[in-house]
Amino acid sequence: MKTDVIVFVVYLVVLMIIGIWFTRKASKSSEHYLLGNRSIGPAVTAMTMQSSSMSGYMFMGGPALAFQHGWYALWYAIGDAGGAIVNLSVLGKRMRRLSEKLGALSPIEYLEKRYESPMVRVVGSIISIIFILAYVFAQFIAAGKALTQLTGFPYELAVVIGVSVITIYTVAGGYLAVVYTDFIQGIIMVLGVTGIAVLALNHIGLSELNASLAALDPTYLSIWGKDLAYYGQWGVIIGAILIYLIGYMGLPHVVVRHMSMKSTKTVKGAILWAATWNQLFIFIPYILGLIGIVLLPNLADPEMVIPQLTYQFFPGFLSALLLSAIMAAIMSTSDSLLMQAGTILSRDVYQRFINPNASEKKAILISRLCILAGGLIGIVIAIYEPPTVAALVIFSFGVLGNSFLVPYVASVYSKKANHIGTLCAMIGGAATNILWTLLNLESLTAVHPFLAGLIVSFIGMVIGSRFGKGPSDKIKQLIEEAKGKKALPAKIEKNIAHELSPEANNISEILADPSWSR
Amino acid sequence: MQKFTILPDSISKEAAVATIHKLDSSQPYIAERKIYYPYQFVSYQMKVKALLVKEGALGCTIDMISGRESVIDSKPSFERSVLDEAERLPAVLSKEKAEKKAVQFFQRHASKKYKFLTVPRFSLKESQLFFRPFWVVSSEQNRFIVDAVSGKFHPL
Amino acid sequence: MFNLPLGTFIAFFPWPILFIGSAIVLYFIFKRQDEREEENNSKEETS
Repeated sequence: MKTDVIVFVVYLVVLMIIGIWFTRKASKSSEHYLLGNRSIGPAVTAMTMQSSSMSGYMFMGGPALAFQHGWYALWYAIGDAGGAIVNLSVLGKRMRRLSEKLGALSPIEYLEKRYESPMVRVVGSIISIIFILAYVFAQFIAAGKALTQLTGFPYELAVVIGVSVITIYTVAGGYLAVVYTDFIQGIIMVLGVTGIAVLALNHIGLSELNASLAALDPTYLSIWGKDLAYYGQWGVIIGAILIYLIGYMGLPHVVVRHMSMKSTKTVKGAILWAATWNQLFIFIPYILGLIGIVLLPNLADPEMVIPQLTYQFFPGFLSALLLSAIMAAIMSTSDSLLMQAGTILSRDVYQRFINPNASEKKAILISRLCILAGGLIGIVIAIYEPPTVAALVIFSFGVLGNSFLVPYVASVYSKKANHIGTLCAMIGGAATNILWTLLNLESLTAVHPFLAGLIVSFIGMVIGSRFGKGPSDKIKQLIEEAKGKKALPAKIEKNIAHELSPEANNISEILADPSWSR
Repeated sequence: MQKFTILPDSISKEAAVATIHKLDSSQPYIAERKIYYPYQFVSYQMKVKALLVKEGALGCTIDMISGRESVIDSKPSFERSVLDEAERLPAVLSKEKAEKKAVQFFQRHASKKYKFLTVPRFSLKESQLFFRPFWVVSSEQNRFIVDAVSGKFHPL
Repeated sequence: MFNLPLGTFIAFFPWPILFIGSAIVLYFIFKRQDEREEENNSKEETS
């Protein structure tokens, strides 16, 4: 146990040194360092997206689902494997064009400008902050569990240590060239998990695994779940696929990536990389969960499948290294999510509505205090009433998806969708998912909470948009333009400098103003 | 006549028309007029103090009508010139507002990299209102602005 | 196959191939768009 702790500490220090080294190297041009590495290619983009968005769930939640339900859990993996492709092809281009025309920088600001109502921003901010924090809590719980395995400390102590380390690491992490360390961690994680999978599958082949599963309980192999729990319940299965297949289009912190994507040339590579990558990587944790059923029959906590298998198949040193990487990945996810919540709080709520004249310093102080409060609540929840990582991630991911998916898609595909519709869609979708989950309506109705929320959100948008003022003519025109229909000759259309669109809008307005032109 | 700071143009009237005409030779284009668009060039000295001290200069331009920020790598070279009131657009934002927007812009970017526990300090280095020339190029059906500095264009 | 019931095999195994396939198709669609853009740009510079 003692050596494991040393490995963990050394790992963190080495990461920090790498980060500082890259920072030094990059500091020759601090502008470039600060204002985004536009030179990052599609491969690294895909890799960092994967390692920073999936960590806690991938290592704890996914395997646990498979451990509990058998092959049925793969429905979640399938949606996830296709999510990036759907997201990029449905929203990507139109949303980038429209957000550019609207001059929106943050995903919540985008909604406010498209739907022309500050209320949309208020409601959107509140929902996103609460559920991004819930997502972080899941990471805290995962960190606590990984640390328990690594150090042998009791879980409560591990959570407190884990969250403290996350905080300290976040402070120090500010000085790291985050992208590079994420990349390195991504590689270690993937190699590690693939390594475990290779060793485990060498030990017990896929056919043999299925035979053993069938011997234990043939329903493990069914698409309907263990004991055929979901037999014939297409409402549950469709929900399970859809949550990760299309849910990404409702996550503000994912959507913003597509909004800010610089070049269309990165997009095509990123689609290919993300697709290939997902097929290779996303299924592995679930398969490991299945292996856990056979090899770890006495496992008390299903979320510990991967940590336990690591110790089974790797010598102490390597397994400690791997767990350190998992831990570090969880930390980097937590701090970027916390960051996101902080930005929304200070920019979209505090500076926008409460105190527009607040100094930057004060705004940041406020957002930090709120984040600190959120962190403390997180510790309390993680210790006293810890839900499983999988349940918490599926819940918070589902609520975010249900609130924002319909508004984001409608924002570029519908000219009728207005602010009332959006408010109905956001509140209706979120409330339905929350109620469905809390009252366990899934077992009653055989409909997955995500599917229920999606339907209600959609209906809310359609009906709500019949009331109140429709979108202004200007917005309608922008939506038409965002479709990319070619009113102009193709050659011209292709060479338009889109960054000039605010200038063009203003100039055409002023040229049309008879009192100005002389 | 009042003198203003402008960006010198490198695209002539004929070149601006040619840019569009080359891509759409189906109809005749003419350069209707030249228009000057207001921006504020703002640069800040940034300093982050903690384990590591980082310092650097950052510059951006603020669109003085829509308030949109864009990063620039180096300070543009300006000229002084007489502008007629009819060829320049009036700035909507005030100087102070533009400077504040620039700080917020840097702050946002900085906080992405430096995470939420450090506050970089910014001190104003330069702030300058300037005008960028655009050609308005049109045919009977279409109308464009052509950036007289870079030659980039956008339909109106 | 792999000792799985046929239904399970058919339900899960085609997806990765489907996704990779659609990604490749999308890749080439985007690539063609990019190439057209580049073609136009280079024409502009030479003429």
